[in-house]
Amino acid sequence: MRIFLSLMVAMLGLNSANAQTAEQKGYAIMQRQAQVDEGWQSELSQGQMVLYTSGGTVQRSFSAERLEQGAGNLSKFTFHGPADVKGTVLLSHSKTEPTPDMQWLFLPSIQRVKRIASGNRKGSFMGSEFSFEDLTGYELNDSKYKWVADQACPGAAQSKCYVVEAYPLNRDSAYSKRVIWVDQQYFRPFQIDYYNRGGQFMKRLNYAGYAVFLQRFWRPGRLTMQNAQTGKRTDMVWSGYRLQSGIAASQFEPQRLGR
Amino acid sequence: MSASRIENTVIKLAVFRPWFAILLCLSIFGLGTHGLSKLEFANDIRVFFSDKNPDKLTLDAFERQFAPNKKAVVAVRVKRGHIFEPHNMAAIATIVDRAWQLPYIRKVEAITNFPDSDADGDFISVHDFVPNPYDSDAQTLLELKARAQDRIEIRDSIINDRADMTLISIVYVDEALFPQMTLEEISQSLYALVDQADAEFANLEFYVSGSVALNAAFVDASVGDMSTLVPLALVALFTVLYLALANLSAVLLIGLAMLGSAMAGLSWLALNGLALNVGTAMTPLVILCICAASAIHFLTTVLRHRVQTSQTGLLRRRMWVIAALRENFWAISFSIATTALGFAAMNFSVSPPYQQLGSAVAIGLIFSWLLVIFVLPALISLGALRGRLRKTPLQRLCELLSPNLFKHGPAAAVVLALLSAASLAGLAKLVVADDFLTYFDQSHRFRRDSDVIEQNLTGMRIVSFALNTDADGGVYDPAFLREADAFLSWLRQQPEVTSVKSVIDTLKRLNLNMHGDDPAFDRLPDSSEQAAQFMFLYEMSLTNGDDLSEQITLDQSAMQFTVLLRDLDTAQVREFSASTEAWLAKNTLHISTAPTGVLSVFANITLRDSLAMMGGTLLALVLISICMMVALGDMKIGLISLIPNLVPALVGFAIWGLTVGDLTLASSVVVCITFGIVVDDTIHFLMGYQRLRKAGLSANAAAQSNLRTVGAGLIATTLALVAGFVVMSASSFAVNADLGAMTAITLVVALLADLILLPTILRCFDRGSAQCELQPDSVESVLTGNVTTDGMSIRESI
Repeated sequence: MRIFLSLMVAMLGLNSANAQTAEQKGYAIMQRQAQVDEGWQSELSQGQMVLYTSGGTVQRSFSAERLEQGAGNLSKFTFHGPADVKGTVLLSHSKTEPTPDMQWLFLPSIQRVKRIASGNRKGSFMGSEFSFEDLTGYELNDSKYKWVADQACPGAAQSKCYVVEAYPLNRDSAYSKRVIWVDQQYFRPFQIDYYNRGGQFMKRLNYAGYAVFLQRFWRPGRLTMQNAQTGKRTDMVWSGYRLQSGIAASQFEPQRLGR
Repeated sequence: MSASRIENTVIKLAVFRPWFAILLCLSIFGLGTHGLSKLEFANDIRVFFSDKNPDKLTLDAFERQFAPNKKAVVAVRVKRGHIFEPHNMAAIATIVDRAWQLPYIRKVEAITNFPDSDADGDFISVHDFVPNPYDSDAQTLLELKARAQDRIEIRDSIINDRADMTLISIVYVDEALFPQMTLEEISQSLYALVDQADAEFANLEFYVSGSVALNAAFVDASVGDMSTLVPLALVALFTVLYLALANLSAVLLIGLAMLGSAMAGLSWLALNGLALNVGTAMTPLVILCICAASAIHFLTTVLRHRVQTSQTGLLRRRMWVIAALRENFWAISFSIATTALGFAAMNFSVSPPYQQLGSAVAIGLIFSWLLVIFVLPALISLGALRGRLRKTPLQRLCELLSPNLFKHGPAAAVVLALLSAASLAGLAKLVVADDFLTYFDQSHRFRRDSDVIEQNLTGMRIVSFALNTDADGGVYDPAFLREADAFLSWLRQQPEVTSVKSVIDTLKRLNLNMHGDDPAFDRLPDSSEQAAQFMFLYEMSLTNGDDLSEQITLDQSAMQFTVLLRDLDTAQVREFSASTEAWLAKNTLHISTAPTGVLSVFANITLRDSLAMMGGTLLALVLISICMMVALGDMKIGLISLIPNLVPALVGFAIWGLTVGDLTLASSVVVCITFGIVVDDTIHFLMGYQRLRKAGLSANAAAQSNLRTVGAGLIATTLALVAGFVVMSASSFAVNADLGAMTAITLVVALLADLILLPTILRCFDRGSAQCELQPDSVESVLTGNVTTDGMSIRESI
């Protein structure tokens, strides 16, 4: 019921665009995006990264587990390759600002779990163009928003997209701004432009290969991150999605990592 | 076609078909103007590196692996106190934040955001070295100061030992992705930021270096050479021309030829899409001098005939011109051909600016030939030569000089020969020393600032090593890491090394952190899994979205060491390279590498270029000597001419060894260039000598008379050339300055050789005289005879 009411409020908000500011509209769109995706409970998937270098390609593989929680989602990445990092586990508990996120790393080589400082997720994720910040996602209230335009969706011209700018509230973010294209029908992200701390355009993420699970949850099959400053690119291919598969919350307790 | 038929055709076209010459002149200037409008300046010192240069290929391979970006470094010096004082640290943080706003920035690295790591039990934090630079108290900062001075990754690279100077590195985006990004924009915005900060923070001083500043200086040097040296050379050349001719209209006529050929040379560059660089910026200057020199020979002769006939009117004018053409056509043609050959041979160089300079000058000279042979005669016949007839200061000097030269010639020749032989000891003192830092003189801010940074903080001479393992993940193999660590320690013990940047230090630091900061673990991790997993943690924790691609390749098969060297010349860079390779061969099984970088390419460039140019120079020597023999039609005199042609280059180098000692890139091409120019004088002297001999003079008399007639021309042309090249030696760019100075020295020696050595040699060896005719004949009778119009009479050709 609570969800239904807020949905109604959000719909009304979106439809009376004239009466609201661009900031309010941006927030309403992102709020709606969060709401339409509620209810997946848990998610399991397999990730494969292809890193393009001048000399060829390099691959990284891992599986991801996520758990939906009201106050912030939990996620866990377990690495399969390259061989030297096999079995390494990265665990993250997202919190809404101002509470910092929590993250832990299990290192099989020393059989220890290390807690990592909350800001330590801006660097490159295994040499890719993604950072851990990009992968763990953002809670709705981690950013301020501003709607800027309605456009055809990049890569899916038949769909209409909202274009919303997100300004991170967290001083630990690597970005000064993200520009997000979400489609108006299902609120799926199609493109995100990232601007660095100095305000310069840094990289662009494109989503493709959407499929729907359990009739209502859209998940992308391929994410492509293109760094505009270095020309380097990473493809991230997702497969084997299993939603509402009943992963126990205890799997996301740091002390249980590696067991 | 016989030689005289060619001569007649040329005379017909030049003297009797003025429309041809005028059309030619107009099209040269039209083409030249068109080309000049397309001229641009190259903005990267790497134009000196060709794809034929193996060191450049090594550097390319390295850059493909590690993709280093364009960088600028700004050193901040605190006048009073040190950088770890609250107000100074806040000021540095302000500048760092402003630097983030510069156009085309990828990242800014400074003491404030240097990635440091700590452990608190099982809690690991990678954080900025100065977490709160704007509001840290004095005590916290003092602790950080001690910590910074204790860290080998920071000391002597990011801060100095007194902690009163710190380096901010500004890393730009990949320029290949941003075609609109210009050096002008990024260097201007950088210097604007620095100048503003300089005005704002009274306690801070700023010094700018790095590749952006280097390339900005490179452009400044090219533009400066073009905009100051070329006008200066013009002033010097016109002064010499006036001294030589004492006739303003003659000087202006030569000026026209000079301008046209310089424009032609420059347009050739522009039309071939070759941006002007510090080497090719010399194109107009060189063409101006050489064109002036060949035109002087022609105009001196025209004026001499004008004095002799002292009548005006079209017919008379045509007579002087035809006489002068007959006297000079072959000498000018051959001398321009040999000079052009010398410059064309610069294409053997492995440095593209020299290939381009050589070709552009050769093209310019071909046009100068057209202008001097066709356009000037046409214009003179049409009456362009005006003014009172008078003796030139140079002629007076020559008349004064030539009897003495002749009388004391043999003695002077012996003295000259002995001095030359003695000077050869200077050859042993030559050292190859190319250093792109000292290429720029103190008038460049880049040089001054780099010197200050090097004296106070860290080496500005950077070489890199790629440590390849040929296996994915190989860099984390403990056996490899141990050797890399030993290599790192050895490098740090070398006196010329100020600091080395390497992930080895990071790995040790992480191993320490992973063991609760227990000092016993300040060493390499035990296994490749540990190393890889620690680095995974570290990389994802880096601030500012950074990665390790500048340190380790994505497949983890190779890592790099960046070594900062202080205060060493290229000979020492080569020694350093050799000793690292020797050490690695002796002490490691897994590592085999050689230093690379812009510095390394320059360290070998003169040697490589000299080697490459050796073939070109030899070919030029042979071809030019063949030209000489054809021109003179006499094997023996041709062989004799080799002496005054070869001695100057050798003695020039020897004098350089005695006075300067350091050879730069210029030395590789200087023989080629000077040989082509030097033979001009010899050609003019010997052709004049032959003409007199044909007219029936003895070797002795011909040599003496020739000194008076051709001597003035020789002195004038050498003066013109020396004036031009002396101006060039004032370049703020050492390669140009050296090329100018070495050429000028060689040309002076060549003049002495032609005036002193050559007549004596001829008197001794020509036409099988049993003994040297060292007693002067009376030559007055010869001079009054119409020596210059032997062969066909003027009427015949009309």
